[in-house]
Amino acid sequence: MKTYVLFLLFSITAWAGPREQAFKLHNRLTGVPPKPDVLLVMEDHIRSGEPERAAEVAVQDPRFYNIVLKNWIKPWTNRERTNRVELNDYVATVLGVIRDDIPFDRILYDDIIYTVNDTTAPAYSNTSNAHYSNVESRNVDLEANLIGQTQSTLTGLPATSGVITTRAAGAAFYSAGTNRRINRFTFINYLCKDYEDLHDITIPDYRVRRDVERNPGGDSRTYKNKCVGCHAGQDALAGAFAHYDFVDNGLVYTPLKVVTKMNHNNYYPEGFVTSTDSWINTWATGQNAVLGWRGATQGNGVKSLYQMFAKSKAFSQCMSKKVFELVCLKEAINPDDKAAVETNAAAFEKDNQYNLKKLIVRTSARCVTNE
Amino acid sequence: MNKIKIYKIVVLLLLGLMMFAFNNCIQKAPSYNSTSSRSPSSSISIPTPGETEVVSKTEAEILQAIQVSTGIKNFEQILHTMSEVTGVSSQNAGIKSIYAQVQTSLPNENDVKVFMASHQVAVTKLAAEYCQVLVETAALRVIIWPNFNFGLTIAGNAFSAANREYLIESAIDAFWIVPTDEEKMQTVEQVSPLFDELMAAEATGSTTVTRGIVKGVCTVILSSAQVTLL
Repeated sequence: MKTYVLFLLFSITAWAGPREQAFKLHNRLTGVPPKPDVLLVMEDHIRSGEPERAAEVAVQDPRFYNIVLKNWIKPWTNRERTNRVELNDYVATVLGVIRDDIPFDRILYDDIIYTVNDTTAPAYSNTSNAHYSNVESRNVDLEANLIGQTQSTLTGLPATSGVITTRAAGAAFYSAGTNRRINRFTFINYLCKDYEDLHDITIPDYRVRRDVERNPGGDSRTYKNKCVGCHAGQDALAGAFAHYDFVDNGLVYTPLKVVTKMNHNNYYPEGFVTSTDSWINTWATGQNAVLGWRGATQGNGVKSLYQMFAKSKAFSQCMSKKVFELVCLKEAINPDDKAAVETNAAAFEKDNQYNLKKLIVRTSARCVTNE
Repeated sequence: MNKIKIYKIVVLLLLGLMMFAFNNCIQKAPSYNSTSSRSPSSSISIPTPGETEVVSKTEAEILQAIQVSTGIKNFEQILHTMSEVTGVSSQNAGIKSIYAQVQTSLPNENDVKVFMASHQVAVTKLAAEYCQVLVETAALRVIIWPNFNFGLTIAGNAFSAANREYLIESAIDAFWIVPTDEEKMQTVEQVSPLFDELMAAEATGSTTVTRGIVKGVCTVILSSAQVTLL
């Protein structure tokens, strides 16, 4: 027993040569060790000073999608931000877009959704996740079987916006509440900012809704110094979700009617009343201009709002940062790593390519060969 | 009187020594590059432009040194890694059953800093099941140990020194993929006594016992950090 315990504590020795680097790179990108022939090919690429080619070999393994990316994306699809949830339409769509080298920013606004080509599984349903949970339980290869479809055709939803209008997003972010949650998790997942980071009490509060008390606890200073810092920005954006709700297990869109929850809890009658799906980015100026907004900063509906998010500088930087953490297993805190994240973000968005697979390849190759 | 004085001096010396010893238990902070004129205690002073470059590089090196860049595989990565190296399908009924039991006890994420003893227990349990299926499936075990005769018993010298070394090294090659010679040597040394512990009080003429012992050794090597670290 003593021997066994000692053995479990046996420490891993230092990694150094191309062979060990190739082994590590494959593990990081696929979650599993390479087969001998794959290891040899990757080792040769690293030995000849081409680690990116080695990474390109690894990402051809289906487990890059089936294990590593799937578990990376799952936390974006739920409030708990955990990967211990079933495969769903949100995850499948992101995986499909990466596999097909579609510009990654499109996951936020395109009329697109991915299903799995598997006749054994139940058909896609607007009110059930059975299609996806079934294929995952049977370990169906997602890389080989994901099929891209037009979301509006498949779901019948007339106003789509990539993963933001998938059923999984509906269940997690549109159920109950006041339709503010989807907005907050967008900032967390795609701009790497929570509301505390964006808190700005200097911007006008004319879009703050009626359900926000202006004198919480009998003190209006609390509203002016705290509440308004987030609500002035988020309420102005959340108008875009005026027609969406998650009802009876499905995401519904009511084009002629603002959903009730947008205007209930009338604590301050003079507050903003949502009557259309218009939105304004009041954070486009002031301290949050640093997020690098590009294009229109006001509009109507979810699609135009998410085009603004997807084209922001913060989106590219956030994806580069998240990829760094995925493959380097640490945060970019030292100056060299920070610079690499910035450089990779610029390359990611260059010429509107937004190729996430290339971003992963570039980032992982640098990381593993520098460790 | 003299004795009391001597006693007092000795006590004072011991107290002084103790304070000195405790003071030296504190880990020293990483020192700054000697090319900089700044001392560690003057880190709030404003550097000159020429100085900034030297200090920031040193800070980068310090950050690099203290950052952990090793991860632990998550629950699904561990499941498929063990499947990959043993050749046993993750869809095997026995594996699925044990995985369902231990899945929530396996690591959630790749951050090695949150790895706990309970995670290792779950890893070991899953590894034991993989080894159970591996050793009981002749077509799979022959890939890992092609030159070991599973028909031998303890009485038939199944676990001779040469066989022990062969069983351990073959498992290391198959499960760890890129072991160093030093790792292999140390592991043979560490794991060899396990054979004796596992053989104690077991029937010496049974091939079931032989397979059981190989499963034990297999579990140790399969549940090790070399398999589960990223």
